[in-house]
Amino acid sequence: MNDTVTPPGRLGIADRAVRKVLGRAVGEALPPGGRVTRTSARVQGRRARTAVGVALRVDGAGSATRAVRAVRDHASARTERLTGLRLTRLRVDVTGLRLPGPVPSVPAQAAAPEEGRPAERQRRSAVRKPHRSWSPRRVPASVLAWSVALASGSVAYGAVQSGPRGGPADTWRPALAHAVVRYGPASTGVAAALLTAALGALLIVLAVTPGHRGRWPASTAPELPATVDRNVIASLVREAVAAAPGVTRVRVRVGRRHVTVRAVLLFGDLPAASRMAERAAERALASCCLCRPPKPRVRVRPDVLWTPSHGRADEGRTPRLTESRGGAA
Amino acid sequence: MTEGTTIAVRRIALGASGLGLLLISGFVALATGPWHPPFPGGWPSRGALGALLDPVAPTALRARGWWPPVVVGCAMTAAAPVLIGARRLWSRRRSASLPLGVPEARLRVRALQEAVAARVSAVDGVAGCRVRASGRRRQVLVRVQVSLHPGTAPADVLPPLAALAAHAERALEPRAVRVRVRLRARRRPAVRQGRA
Repeated sequence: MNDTVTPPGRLGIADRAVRKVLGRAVGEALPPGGRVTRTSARVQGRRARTAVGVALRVDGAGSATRAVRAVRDHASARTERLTGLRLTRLRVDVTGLRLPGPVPSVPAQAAAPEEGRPAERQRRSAVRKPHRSWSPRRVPASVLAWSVALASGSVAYGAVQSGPRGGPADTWRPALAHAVVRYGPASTGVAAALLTAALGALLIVLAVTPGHRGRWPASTAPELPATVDRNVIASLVREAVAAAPGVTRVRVRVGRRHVTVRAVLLFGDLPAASRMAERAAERALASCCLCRPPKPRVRVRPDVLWTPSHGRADEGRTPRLTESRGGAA
Repeated sequence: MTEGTTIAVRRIALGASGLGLLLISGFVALATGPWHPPFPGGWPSRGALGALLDPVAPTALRARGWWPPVVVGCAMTAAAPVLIGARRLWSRRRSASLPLGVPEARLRVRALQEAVAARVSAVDGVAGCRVRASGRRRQVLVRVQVSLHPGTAPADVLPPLAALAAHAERALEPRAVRVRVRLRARRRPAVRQGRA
């Protein structure tokens, strides 16, 4: 190949050749599990502009950034050496990524930092209990912005159209000008004032309150801010309480401070069932990892078929209860 | 603009317009009552509350040369939030990749989203998830919406998700990664709980 580079001749390297060399060079530097997804090169004289796409697999302690840096350094050096061109640009696009699997590393890594400084961690979590996140109020803000923009835009349009001598006759602008001159605050009416006041109060409430009422801050680790939706809490509590023997028709309402549970007891001891239901609700709430857990309020009321004499659960089958009711009637 | 600033600006705008509406409605309510407050100073009206403007005021205003440009300028200023929002929507669509800590190296947002989604879906009790990643100036924000199978407690799901967050952070190391999780219950058909 070298003998083709005689002084009067010129060696041209096709884009495709550079692409292939680059692809091989990148492949050499990729960590295991990675692959080259695409390469491109454009040769301009003695220089080349190149780009490469890679899919990476990151293992437990690995870093995609480090892998990309290694790929870039190796590929540019190797391609330059093999082709004799200068790479003026080597873009690396990470088009695919695989993060390490959850199995081996979870317990060790979760435990390691806690052991280091437990006191500090505890203090931090005690000091900074996350509050509800503030809703960005997207919909009200955009409705406000659009209505202001439309109103001001139409006013500007009117100002431009009419000019100093008044514009063409259209339907609403002369009517508005007439109304502005004819009517004032005194002739507006109390209903309109009240409506405006209500709208203003609504906007102020939206501005001041945090929103996100249905999302509860929860955390097991301070570096992972999480929220739990209200329906998760409700369904967990409902299932836990319904699992208590004899308890049926469980209704759960999750409020800001309390979780109200209403259930019906078909058979069994009422106080014992209430206690069990309450404990089940507490356990379910604890499993939600809420930062400020609501207090459970459990009310179990006996069914119309329930009789206090059927103390034990094994006696309280539905057919017998039905029978006893039939006997009473 | 950071997320906190956006929220603050939006809420201040909402509160200010709410306050404005309240003041106007109070003024109108007083004007309909026995006590008539005067128009604020400099208002182009004679002072009677029966009319918002004097009949001559609009004509007089229009006669001045500066009137249309001022109106158009004010309108453009008032329409600015909408324009900014539209621009932001446009730029958000375009930013399909985020810079890594290496020159000329970028990470496809979609690759990151898919990597996180694959890991989240592999966690026991997770029915599905939606991952949104966005590159901010200082940090990469990954928002994960996880829908849980019925009966799955957050206590079972959050530790693996925290490990995932740690992995993601380590993978993009010089850039700060913040993972935010929202847990929702997957809806299932209502079971009728009646008397046996």
